[in-house]
Amino acid sequence: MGKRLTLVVLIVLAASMLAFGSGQKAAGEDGASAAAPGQAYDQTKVAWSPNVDRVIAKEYKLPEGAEEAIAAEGTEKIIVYNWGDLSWDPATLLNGSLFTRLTNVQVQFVGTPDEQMTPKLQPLFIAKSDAVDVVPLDETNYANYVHRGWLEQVDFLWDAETMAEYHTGLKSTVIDGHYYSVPQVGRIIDILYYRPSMLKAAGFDGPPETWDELLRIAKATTVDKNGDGSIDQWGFAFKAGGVLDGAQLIKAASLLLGVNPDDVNGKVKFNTPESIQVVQMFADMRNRDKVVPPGVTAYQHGDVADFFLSGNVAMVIDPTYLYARCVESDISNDFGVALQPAARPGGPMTQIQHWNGWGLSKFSRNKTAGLIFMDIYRSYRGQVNEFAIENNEVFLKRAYEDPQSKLVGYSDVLAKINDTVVDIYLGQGEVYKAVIAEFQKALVGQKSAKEAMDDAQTRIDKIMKY
Amino acid sequence: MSRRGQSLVNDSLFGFLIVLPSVLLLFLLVLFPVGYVLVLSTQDWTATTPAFTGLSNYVKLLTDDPLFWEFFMHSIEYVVLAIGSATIVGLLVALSLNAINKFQGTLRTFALWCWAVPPVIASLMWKWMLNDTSGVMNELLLRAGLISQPIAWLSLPVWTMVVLSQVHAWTAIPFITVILLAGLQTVPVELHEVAAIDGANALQRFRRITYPLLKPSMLTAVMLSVIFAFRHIDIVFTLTKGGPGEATELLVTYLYSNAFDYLRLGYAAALSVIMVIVSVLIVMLLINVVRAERVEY
Amino acid sequence: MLVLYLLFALFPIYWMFITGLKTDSEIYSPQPTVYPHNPTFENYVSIYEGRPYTQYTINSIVISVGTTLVCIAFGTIAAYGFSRFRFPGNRTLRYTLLVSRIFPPISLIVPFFLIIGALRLYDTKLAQIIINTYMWLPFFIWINIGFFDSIPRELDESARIDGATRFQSFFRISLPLAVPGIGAASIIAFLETWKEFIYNLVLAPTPNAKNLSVGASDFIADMFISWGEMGAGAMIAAIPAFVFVIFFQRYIVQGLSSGAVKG
Repeated sequence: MGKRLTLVVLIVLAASMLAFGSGQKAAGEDGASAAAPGQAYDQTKVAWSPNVDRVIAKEYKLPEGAEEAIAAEGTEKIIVYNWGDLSWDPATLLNGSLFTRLTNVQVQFVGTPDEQMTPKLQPLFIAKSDAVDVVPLDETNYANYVHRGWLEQVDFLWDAETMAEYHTGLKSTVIDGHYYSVPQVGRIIDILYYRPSMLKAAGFDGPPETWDELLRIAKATTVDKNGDGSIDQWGFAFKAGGVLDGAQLIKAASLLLGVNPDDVNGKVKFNTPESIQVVQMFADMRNRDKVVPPGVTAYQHGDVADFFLSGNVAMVIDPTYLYARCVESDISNDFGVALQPAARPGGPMTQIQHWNGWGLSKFSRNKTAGLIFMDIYRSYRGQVNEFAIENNEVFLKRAYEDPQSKLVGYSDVLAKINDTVVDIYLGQGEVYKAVIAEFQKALVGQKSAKEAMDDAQTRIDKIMKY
Repeated sequence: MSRRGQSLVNDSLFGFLIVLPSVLLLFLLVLFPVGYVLVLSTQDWTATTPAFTGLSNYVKLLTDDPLFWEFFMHSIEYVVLAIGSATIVGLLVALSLNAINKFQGTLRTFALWCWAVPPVIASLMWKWMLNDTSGVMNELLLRAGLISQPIAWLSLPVWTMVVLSQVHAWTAIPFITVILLAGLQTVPVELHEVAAIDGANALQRFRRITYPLLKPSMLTAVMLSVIFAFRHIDIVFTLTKGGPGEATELLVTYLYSNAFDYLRLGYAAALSVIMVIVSVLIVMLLINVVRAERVEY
Repeated sequence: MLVLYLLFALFPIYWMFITGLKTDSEIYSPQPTVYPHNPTFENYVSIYEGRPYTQYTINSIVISVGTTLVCIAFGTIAAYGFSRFRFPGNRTLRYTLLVSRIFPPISLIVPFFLIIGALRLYDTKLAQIIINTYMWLPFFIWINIGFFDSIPRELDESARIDGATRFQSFFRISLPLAVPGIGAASIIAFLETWKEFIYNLVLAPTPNAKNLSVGASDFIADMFISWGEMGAGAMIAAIPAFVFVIFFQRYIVQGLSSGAVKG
């Protein structure tokens, strides 16, 4: 009878599999035609167009029909997920309360660390749940979500005139000719931070402006201060440990040599001579010149920032958010900010803008309210708040001219930036992971720079199906 | 009390009935998820709508994915190193705790405390402690004069795996200790006393008396710890994310990437089924090893 | 030797503790300090400001206690049944129980989400208790089967001969002897539920049912980690569990004094 019991178990198991297999199929097919959640949004109820006036107005005004539409949907609150906890996002909270003031709809923010975002959102999407309205996006998840059909198409929020108000990099968020998002911020991720006192002690008056100078200064500022045989102060540090960090490091440096690895004649190619040169340079910094700590291969998140704040390193390249932390720290009187050094005098100064956006869940029941939230965020007031309060660069060009924006401590550095890129494509996350894996092997000396990048490219070809 | 005659329920049925509530509860909760994953593993999620592809995910994993085998080896290393040392240390700790008479409660409490820390937090703390420039680990070793250069614990191609496995051991030792300690309570003190009178020393007493009686507990402890270690993701994920250069990438982190970074849910589901099969094989192996040993005693 | 181990085991906890007491200046100073030079409680205060840490604590306690009680209620007698009685499917069921737990939790997130959603229990503590019971009942049973196995059957049989019913023989004879096993298994169930992360993360997004383990990751901001607050948060997440260990560790040994195993 033991056998019979086993048989029973297997049959029940098989039955459940069949049940769910067919249930899944039904769910998978009816994407757009199901009732309420998943139903295509009827944008004619609200007078979205002309978008541009609303977007550039100093005080945001609701488009006509919005209040009625929100009331018709019975919305009392919207649920918005946010990258990271909100105690460090005062601008987001401010934009949220602006939204609530205008619409009488509450905003429930759910702050989630980066790594936890997709595990939290994915079950919601797969179950077509209405438990989330607005989701945060970046290069790692945007293309995937669009591909899966989880985001509402928002073409009605955009047109040529409106797009012209934003940095050109935003064009990369158009997928197959359609819009699925609004921009939240576009952080410049590579600004040079340095310690004037350490540089002066080594005989340098100002920050490096080329790679040669960077290396020279790094060597001079890597010292063993107390003579115990181990280095206490390092010249330089970078992040090679995370999913974006390592790959964007290579891309940022490649851009300074004039090549964008994410777009070499329309293809992703990380083994161009420029990228290999870059990888070699970083590996040399670690292994030959010894101006960066060996542990850089594991630095991610805020590790480099923490390193700089603890006073153990003379220069780092990190995103602009570090500025606010420096101002509030013990080294507030002894730090400087500059553009990252060019590859050579007069070389290209193209910078990466790390895009964060908002998208509307296809299964939300509060679409109009969600769209208004997104609309406020990408408009003048929302963008100025982000830049002025949180020092996050934004895509709306006019936002930099606001008097509040001019007060930001490093706006003079930003004013020198002309040329930025944003790249988003399907498979980007996997590509970057392969690049970082190989990059780290080159960093620890297991492979030469060329071998590593060629191997990375083999994997990229497979991922992108070239 | 009069002798009860045959009751309505015979022994066998009784046993079945008292087991039923738990079994039913668990089955109801388990069948759907397991069935779901099995169905998912037969689907291909690279297109916009999932499509049925039979067993091709499994075939692809086993024959067309060199990463799978590489990470499989890493997982085995991780588990063996972590649970190997955890078992030895756990055994020694349990024996010590059992033998000590004073402050038993306090010592036991201290030994178990590290187990109460949630894994994500523990991982972050370790990550910071092992940081090569501002980590306290290097600081202490340098001050003690045991090393002359700070060690980049999380960036060594070969040794980082050892480091990670020992962090895992840190989380696993209390678990093993608890089970073994409870198991040691079933070893009658008299047997030890008799053997001591007969002239056996501590090691002999351990081998002949303690060890055989402790075997079921050890089996349970090791088996469960191995299962946990095989699918434990927090430590590797937080400390190295699989680096440097995929030297510490495990099957379970690969599973995570496929499921959440690349959204290849079908592939990920197939991978998890394979992981289950491997775990079951490991368990069966362990059980058989113990059974084989029993023969000789 | 025990001392060495204790140092190893407790140092990270000590480190967590003092980090929570350090000022930001000290945390980011050039060299790590082994004890706080200017201890301050500002981190502990700030983590409560605007954060429902009390709610998280209550949630954690309710969920862990609830799960442990359910496991004891269902699992003890089930383990007894598996150990003592021969019935068809005994072996199969045991192993099926175990196999069900071998699936990596992350691969079961989506189906569990669907179940909990269908039961309309999203974002509730009950859902957490259900899931954690699913997680730990099989092990609870498995561990106790081992303990019941090691209690000689003769004891049961002599009780039955003396006229006790099966239940009586269970409650009066076997159960007291199994206390070490139940104690150990309960500690495991409680602490593992306490530490549970991924299912709480996915199924409990608001403070309604969010536990301390997930709540501690509130300090991971978008681009950095607030170490001081993390240290304080971590201690708070661990202290009730510490207290639990203090009280319950004695149950592992209690069985010895019942004395039934004397020859």
